[in-house]
Amino acid sequence: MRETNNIFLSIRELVKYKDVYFYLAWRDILVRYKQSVLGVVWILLRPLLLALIFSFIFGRVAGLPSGGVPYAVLSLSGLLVWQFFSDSFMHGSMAFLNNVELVTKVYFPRIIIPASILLCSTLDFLIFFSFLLFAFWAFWGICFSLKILFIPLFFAWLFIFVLSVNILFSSLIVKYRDFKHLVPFVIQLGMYVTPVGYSSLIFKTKWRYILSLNPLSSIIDCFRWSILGQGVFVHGIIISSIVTVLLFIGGLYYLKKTEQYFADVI
Amino acid sequence: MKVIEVQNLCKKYIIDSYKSKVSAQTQKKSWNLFLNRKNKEQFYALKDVSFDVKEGEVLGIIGKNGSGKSTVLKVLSKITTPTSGTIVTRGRIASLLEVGTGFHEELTGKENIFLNGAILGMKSHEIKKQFDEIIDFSGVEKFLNVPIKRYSSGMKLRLAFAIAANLEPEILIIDEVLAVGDVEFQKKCIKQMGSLKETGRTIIFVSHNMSAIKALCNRALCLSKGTVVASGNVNDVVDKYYLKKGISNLYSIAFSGENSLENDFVKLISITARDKNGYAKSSFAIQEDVIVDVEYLVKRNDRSISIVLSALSKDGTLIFKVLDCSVIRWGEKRESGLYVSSCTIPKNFFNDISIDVGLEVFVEGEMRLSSIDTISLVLADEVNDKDSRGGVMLDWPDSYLRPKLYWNIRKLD
Repeated sequence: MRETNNIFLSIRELVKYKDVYFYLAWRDILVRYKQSVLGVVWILLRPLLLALIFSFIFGRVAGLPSGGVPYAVLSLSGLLVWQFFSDSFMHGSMAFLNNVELVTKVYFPRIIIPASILLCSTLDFLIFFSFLLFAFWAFWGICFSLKILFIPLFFAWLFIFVLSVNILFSSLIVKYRDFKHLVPFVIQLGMYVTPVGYSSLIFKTKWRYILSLNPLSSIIDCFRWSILGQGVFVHGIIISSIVTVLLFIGGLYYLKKTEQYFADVI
Repeated sequence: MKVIEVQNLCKKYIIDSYKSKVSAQTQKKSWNLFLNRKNKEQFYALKDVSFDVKEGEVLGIIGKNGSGKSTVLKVLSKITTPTSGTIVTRGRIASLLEVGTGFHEELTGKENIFLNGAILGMKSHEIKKQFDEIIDFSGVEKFLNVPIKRYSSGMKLRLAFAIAANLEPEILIIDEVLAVGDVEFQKKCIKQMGSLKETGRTIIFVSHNMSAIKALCNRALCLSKGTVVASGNVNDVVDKYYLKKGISNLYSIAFSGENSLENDFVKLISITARDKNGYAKSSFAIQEDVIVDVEYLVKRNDRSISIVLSALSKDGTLIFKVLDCSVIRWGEKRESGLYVSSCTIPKNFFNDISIDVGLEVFVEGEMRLSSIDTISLVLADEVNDKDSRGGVMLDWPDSYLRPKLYWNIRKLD
């Protein structure tokens, strides 16, 4: 067995260790809901409460536009994406630090640890998403168009973006614990600079360019396009895609470069 | 066929990056580390280690703590990369550097079997196939659906080892897993490893338990400070290891030349430590008699003479002092001639410590003669059930003695 720097060998190795990936995700899912009475209800409860607050503050008090849908619907569709990001980022950025014994005592491709955490959040996403579709239809009488078939594509984008951020942060945290303190900050601040509780329509075009440097804002726009039929900003999508690809390559590169020393440094 | 070939393996650590583990907690210090990067100190955990393992062979790796044993295993199992050197391996490797890696307290025994199996590299269908055997071996059948946070530590350990014992890789790498668990369990593990060996598995095995090493391995490798100091036949290497382990390897002093120790009445010849088979050595198991022979010449007939031995711990505490006039009474004149006074320090008396044995000679009406040099003995704890442990596998407290005393237990009702 020689060094596996070759990308094809790396992929083959990933396939070889796919069982570990699923079992780790399965562990996280089991652990998350053991000994919790409300269980799955938590997935829905948090965003619902947040949506309530958003509709009151942004919708009622500040009177921001919602693009022709009820304000709660607008914020819930934003929270669908945001919830996935914040949950996976919170756990995923600590992927290696919280699994020191896996890093120092067994070998498998390290990317499996942050990636398995995303799989766990995917389940939450699916539950929340099906709930939303039902609620939008049942309570707000929203009719969906065929655009909704694009959701898997947008979700894949979201998945890759969050995976890249997690890989980058979790590997940086192995060596520089400073990034650990940055995580809650990013999540807190991120919610304001991402159009979660408001619509990106309120910005002028100039500002939307800057906003799209944050891929999440374009991803949310895309979700709103496919669920609610709101307009998208194509230039923004291009910028966000480029940022995502750069983050993905950067994250993978940094992980590949540093993973062999994780056990020594962590 | 060689399944593992290791050549000139080096692993360098930079002390700074070690420290960063601690000091990165405060931002300021880690920034300082960042600035001081040029002042890194280097440390070789492994230096030019070369060895190979043939198919079906069981290789034992021994050495003191910090000699690099675990680093070798970590490098072999790809957890960390070597600084230089090459490793060629053929076949699927599973390494067991810790029992129960990835166990999650909240999950049940059954769930943990699947999780841990996967982490150790088993496929789902393999785990399912071995499932019954794993449960049989672990003996936790009744508690399979109980979260393991409710397990005793012994149960957790048995479960963990049961999973690992049913791995079926071509090459198995095992670190000090026998250090934990009771004697019964250790026996079971060694037996299991023995049967793995019989199926032709290649095993690399690190342990402090020399009897396990001797029982299981064909060949052994002894590391010291990151280099290979001995390799080859397991018995030879273990003996060399025992010799090395002493702080000084002096198990014998000959009093001649500069070193001579005599007066008008007596001349000392030598002091030697040996086992009861007459094999002179400085490392003993605590379950072994230590015999100290003092050879001397009595020159005249008209004095009473006594050989005095003292045992000192490495921190300088006098543990005991004994005189051979407990046999030939003080006051009885000694006939001239050549004598050997042999003192037996019984087995199961000392704890696993290093001691210095000092020698003095009392001569009636004269200044006593005392040797400046002492012999050094190391008593090692070869965990087995013949000592005073009686199955207790905790770390023994750091006392000087661990005597096997006479107990009497009566049931009163």
